Amino acid sequence: MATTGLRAVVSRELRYLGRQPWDLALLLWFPAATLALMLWLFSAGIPTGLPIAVVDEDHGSASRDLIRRMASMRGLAITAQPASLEAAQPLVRSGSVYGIVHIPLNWERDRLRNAPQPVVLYDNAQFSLVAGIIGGDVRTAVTSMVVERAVAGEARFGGGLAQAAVRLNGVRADLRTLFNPALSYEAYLAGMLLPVMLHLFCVVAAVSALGHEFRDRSVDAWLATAGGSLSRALVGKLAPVLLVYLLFALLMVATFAGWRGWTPAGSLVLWVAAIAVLMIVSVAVAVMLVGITINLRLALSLTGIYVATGLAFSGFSFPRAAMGPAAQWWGALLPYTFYLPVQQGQWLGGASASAWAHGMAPLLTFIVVPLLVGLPLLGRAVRQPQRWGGR
Amino acid sequence: MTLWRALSNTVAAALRDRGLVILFVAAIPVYSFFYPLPYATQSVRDIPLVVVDLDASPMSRDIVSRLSAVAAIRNGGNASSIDEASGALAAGEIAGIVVVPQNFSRDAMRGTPTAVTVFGTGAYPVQDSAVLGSVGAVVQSVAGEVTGARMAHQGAPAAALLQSARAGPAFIDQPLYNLARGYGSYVVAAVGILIVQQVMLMAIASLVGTWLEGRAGTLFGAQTVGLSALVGTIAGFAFFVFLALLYFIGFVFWFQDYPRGGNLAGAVAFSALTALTVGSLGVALGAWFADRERALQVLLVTSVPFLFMGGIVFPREAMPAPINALAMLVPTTPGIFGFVKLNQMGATWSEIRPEFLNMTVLLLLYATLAAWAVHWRRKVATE
Repeated sequence: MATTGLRAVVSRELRYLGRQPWDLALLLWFPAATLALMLWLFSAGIPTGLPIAVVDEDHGSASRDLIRRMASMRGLAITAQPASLEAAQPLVRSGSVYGIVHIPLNWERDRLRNAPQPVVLYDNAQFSLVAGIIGGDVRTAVTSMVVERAVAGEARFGGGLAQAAVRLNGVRADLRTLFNPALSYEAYLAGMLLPVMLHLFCVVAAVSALGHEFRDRSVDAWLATAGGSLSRALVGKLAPVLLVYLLFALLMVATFAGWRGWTPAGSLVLWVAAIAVLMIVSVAVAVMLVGITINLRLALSLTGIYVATGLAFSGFSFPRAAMGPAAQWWGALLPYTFYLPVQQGQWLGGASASAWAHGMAPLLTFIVVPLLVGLPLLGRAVRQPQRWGGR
Repeated sequence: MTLWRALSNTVAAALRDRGLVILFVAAIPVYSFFYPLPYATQSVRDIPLVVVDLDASPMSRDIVSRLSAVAAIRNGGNASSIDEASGALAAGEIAGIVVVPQNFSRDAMRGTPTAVTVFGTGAYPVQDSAVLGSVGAVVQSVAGEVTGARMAHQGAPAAALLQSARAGPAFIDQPLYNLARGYGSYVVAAVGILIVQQVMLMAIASLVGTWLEGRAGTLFGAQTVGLSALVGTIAGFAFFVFLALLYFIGFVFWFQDYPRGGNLAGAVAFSALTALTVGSLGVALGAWFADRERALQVLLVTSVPFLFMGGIVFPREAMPAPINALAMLVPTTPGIFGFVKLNQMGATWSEIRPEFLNMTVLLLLYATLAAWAVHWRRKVATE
């Protein structure tokens, strides 16, 4: 076995991982377990049976009909029927229900008198996703009843129920969701969170692999193994990390597109290429962060600010178009912001290859620029032993 | 070492460590301005959609002009066919396509059924619901006017038309607590607590790991470590966590104008309990990691799983039971629920009973683990 050169650096890395169970766990087992946990967490896909309370002050056949319709909605579970709104509020505050449906006194009588009172849903808006599901389902239940009654009322002008329905629904809005039409939260949240977590894991692993040499003042030994060449030393050090994360990325794509059955609407190859580039970006970013700091702790702290916040600024839920200029500007400095639309386009949307190329161009700059910043700084630091050993 | 001595030595050590004082003191204020930045506008606005107007009538132009008045969406241009716009939707450059069909205006006035079709994108569910919701409301208002005009034409009595035009909605969706449905009010109220836990665990575990490396500090110095030294050390660390929590619930929620102050006394008491729990867990983790940098490596990647396991973004009802059980071991799970209930929802102390019990059990568990881990590390060192 060669004592210097690329292969020697790689085997030195592997020996280090063999001696340091923590570093091996951070590279392999910890990300594997975390990704499996996140997949399992969202495996239900769509939340169902969310508990609500119904306050029925009308006590009529119509209000009972409405309660039956709500109970049959997939998203809802009526777990309490308190006598009054006052009695229902503590149920929301204690978290045992996410909302209260209030059917007012004389609801049916006033409708027949042509002065209808509204059914009111009080939902807990601190739980935004849940409130949206409950709001949609209760609205559907109420609307189904209102429409049936309106049609029955209109039918007295002749032509039967079918004609009445046509007259009332002459102009409609036909609302359709393309790409992930069931709005599966597994495809949405797991699909967006897993790549950003791989990105973060990969940066942390690469920063750790590189940063510990400076912390442990072992830069000389590391460079000597590479025969004095910094580029060879870097490639040998970072190649195992990159290889592991490329495999994780492939596994992730295989999980979504194969095991879970969401066949890409666009190109599987282009999706894989995009996430592979994101992993290379992660390693390049790690070179930059260690180069700037020459200190493992500080490089990890910067990872917390630069990479770990990437999700919030990427527009994965709250859209970028709605953010203020400062947030949009910061988001534009983060690689994940550019990866996300490329993935969603190839996986769910079925975007064209030219749209892919258009989206990949900025992502590639996140390889070039961090290396242009990081490599000269590292090159200087490996010749300055007085800067090593910073904690 | 007396309890008070251990406490003051711990606080002094945290402030003297030039690397970690940033985490103990400065990181929380920085994050408190930085993290809420994307959500500062609170509501979805200006998301682009494209209109395909195949009718080109005054009525279709009326729909387009009403769409431009909706804050959530922005007219990102016109297209002559769906095909022309669909590529941009697939690539995520626009969030929706509105199609007004040929002869829309004629059919609407004749009473021939017709529909404005709206395509949203399930690749971005938040944008999808904003597009479908706002365009749906605009079309519905136009439809109501068209139906009214046609019925008047067909001889319906004016009084009846007026009454139905003035009728209130059949259904009202009234938000509680977060009255404007602010996105930041919902996210930051939860993530703020997570930020405090994560930053403080990193700081505490790093300092304890440093002590262990250098055989120093109140826990790993030459002197014997009794119960009072351990309790004093945990209390010293909890002091920083407590201040960070008070800073969030007292200053950040006020400064960012989020819902707040529902049960201030309860929130302060719960802060003290949470601070001791996080302090104990930090000591236990630090003694386990035995390294200055390890805590950052491990904890950086746990923030996203901890947030989603907490059950405020994705509901507990939809999560597998073993994950819900595992989540109860993380202080943010009772912490986020408890603080949102106290600060935003104004819950009484008895209404946070499950969170209080969960947090108390965690305090006992992690304080015991901390004591055991410190004892074990000291024993290993002397052997």
